Amino acid sequence: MRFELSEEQQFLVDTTQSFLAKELPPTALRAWMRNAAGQDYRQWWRTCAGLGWSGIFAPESCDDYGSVSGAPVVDAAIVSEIAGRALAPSALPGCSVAVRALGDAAPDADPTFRGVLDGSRIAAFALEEPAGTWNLDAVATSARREGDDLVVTGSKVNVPDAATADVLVVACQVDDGVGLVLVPIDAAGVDVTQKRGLDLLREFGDVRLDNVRVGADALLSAGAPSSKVAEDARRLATCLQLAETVGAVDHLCGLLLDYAHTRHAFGRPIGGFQALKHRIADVTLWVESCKGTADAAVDAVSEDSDEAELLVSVAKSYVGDRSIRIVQECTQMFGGIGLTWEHDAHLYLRRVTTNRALLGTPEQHRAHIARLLRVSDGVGAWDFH
Amino acid sequence: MNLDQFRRQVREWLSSNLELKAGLPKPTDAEDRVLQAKIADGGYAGLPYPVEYGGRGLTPGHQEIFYEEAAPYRLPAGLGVSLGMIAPTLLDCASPGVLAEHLPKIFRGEEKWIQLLSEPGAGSDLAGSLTRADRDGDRWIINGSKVWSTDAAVADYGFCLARTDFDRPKHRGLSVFAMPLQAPGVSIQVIAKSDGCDTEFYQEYFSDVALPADALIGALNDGWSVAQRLLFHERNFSGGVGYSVGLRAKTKESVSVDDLIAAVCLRGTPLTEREEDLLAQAYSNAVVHNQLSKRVSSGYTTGTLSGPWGSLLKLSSGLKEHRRAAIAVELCGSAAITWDDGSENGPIGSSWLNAMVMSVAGGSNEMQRNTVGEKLLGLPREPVVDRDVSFRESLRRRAPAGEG
Repeated sequence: MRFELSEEQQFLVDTTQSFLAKELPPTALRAWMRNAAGQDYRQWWRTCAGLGWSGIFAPESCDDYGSVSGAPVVDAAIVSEIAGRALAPSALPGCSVAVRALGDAAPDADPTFRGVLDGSRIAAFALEEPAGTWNLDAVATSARREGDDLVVTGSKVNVPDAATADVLVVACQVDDGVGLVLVPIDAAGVDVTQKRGLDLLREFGDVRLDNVRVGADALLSAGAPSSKVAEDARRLATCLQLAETVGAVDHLCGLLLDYAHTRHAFGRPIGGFQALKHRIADVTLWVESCKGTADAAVDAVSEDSDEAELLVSVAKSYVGDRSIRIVQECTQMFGGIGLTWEHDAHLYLRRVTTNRALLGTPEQHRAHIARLLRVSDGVGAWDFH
Repeated sequence: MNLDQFRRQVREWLSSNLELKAGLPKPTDAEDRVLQAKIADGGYAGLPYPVEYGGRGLTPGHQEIFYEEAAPYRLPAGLGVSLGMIAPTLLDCASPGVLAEHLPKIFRGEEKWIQLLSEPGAGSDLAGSLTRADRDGDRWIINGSKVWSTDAAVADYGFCLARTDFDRPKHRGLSVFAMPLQAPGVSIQVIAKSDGCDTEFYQEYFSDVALPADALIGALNDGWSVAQRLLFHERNFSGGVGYSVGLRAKTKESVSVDDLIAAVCLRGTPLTEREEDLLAQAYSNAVVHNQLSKRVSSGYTTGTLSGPWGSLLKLSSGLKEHRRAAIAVELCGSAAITWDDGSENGPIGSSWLNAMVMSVAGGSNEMQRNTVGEKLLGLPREPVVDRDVSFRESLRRRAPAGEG
């Protein structure tokens, strides 16, 4: 967790932690496995929404919802990090992206918007395409205008919550670049195929959109050009994923530390042996570095700074690689128990491996960094941050 | 004074008193001292230190602001040990008399200090010091040798760890002395590093060097805890946090990412994906290191963190430097091993030969990992076999069978 928290944010941390400790004991988590799209998930998300998770990005005009600190990206990242520690299933990214993109344009009289806010409807962010697209440059799905309507055609893959969602936020080619179009899941021409996934606590699906007709007002503008809205959505989703991963690795590292203190071998706690102590020190360094870089990305996106694009990719590439290394090092040091179904280590490995692959791999983000730094032009005159 | 007012004041003072560093060579020792005196005259030296010792009685936050604003200006380059490590250690451990004598001079650049800790036979295990201080009436007589001190040739004082009692256990028979380096019996020799250059580190030899009784810093035989404070501040200095905030100038790295890009582009052929990936890695590693450093700084400022988190930053530097040099060698291919500019090692070769300086100097990566594991995470120490044995006895045990 970041150190500089306002009073309101500290309150958010405390309530989120005690809520998860009370409502999501390890046994409950285990009951989710392989059943992530079920009715329980809807119920769970409604409870989370009751705490305000779904409405962090609601405009000021919505009295009951909004950010506690006035910095909704930071607040959502705080929630995501704490949820990540517990591996809590959550529709936070999709719903945050939807509410933020709706912006002031959507009064809470709108049934879709109201449903997303009160947790009765789940929104999913559909970005990735079969060609491995992780950013907006190569989005092929299109929304073409026909009279007063938009007609959406294309394919999206690995959409989180696809089989549960009521509404999709679909990244599409529109008039002025790539924008976000709101598509109800029950619209004619939408076909969802649920998939099995490595992460047992989340659900993914592929979505085919075959000439899906929606109103022109389904293009989300939030008062900005469509492409800016879409880019902001991608960055926000990435920040929430980063925070989730950071929470996950921090928690597992804590479990390892407890184990290193209490597990005895050769007459003393195993954490006393330099062979392990030094590895735990390295793991601690990586976890703290992940926190530092993820927080910096969240801050840059929150402030919409010029460096946001670069810092998101730096964090995504670093955290993507390190999180796997952290979990595997922890697993190795847990020894045999870490290889069992009963131990949580594999749940964390499943989660961080999934997060690494979604929204761009470390390799893809490093290629993006190289482009941003214009290394090919030999310019590269970027100061270190 | 609030920090924003202070920042405005600093900005104004800097622009009319210091020159911009762009294009100017790194200051010499003599220039360092003139610059530091100027900073002290302006009232910006010793900012977080008590007024009675020549400080300003402000906070590390004020110091951070001063150095943030001063970054584009030509600042002293070789006073980091004195200002960032020795001064806070003295404040922690020295008597009011020692503080009144030395701190004002340190803040004015009149006294340049070095560390005299490591010895040829005691590096990571610093408490195994063999340099001895024997009482002779009201004087101390020092004999022995210290090594790896930076800039010894132009320094005035050494912070010298010496054994004052061989009959006490290793850690409990040490004391720290302020040693004037011009004293009779001190000789100083430069060490040639593996790259063939000999400009950085020194070894000192002490032959019956006589020090006055009041050269003692801290209590007699309590030198180990004094040295621990110095090591703590050294980690903070490396990490740019605590009392050392801002003092470690962000010097241009020997081979920066910009240099790497330039070197690869000189080749004239397009970058491969692998090369782009390596450049982005080098860049990201540097950015993430700075982000970690900001995180630790913020933890200290808010009071959430305490303890030697500087060790985590030091470990990060040690690993990062090595990785950067390795990336440079991989990226530059044959340009890393042959060159035609007449230089001794070439820029990439030089950076490669020095790649492990940061992972050893100022406390090895392994010692940082011990500190992180034991002091930050509370993991138990390895069993120590010489803790409650007199140092004389542990020396005897050291000797191979049949000797001693």
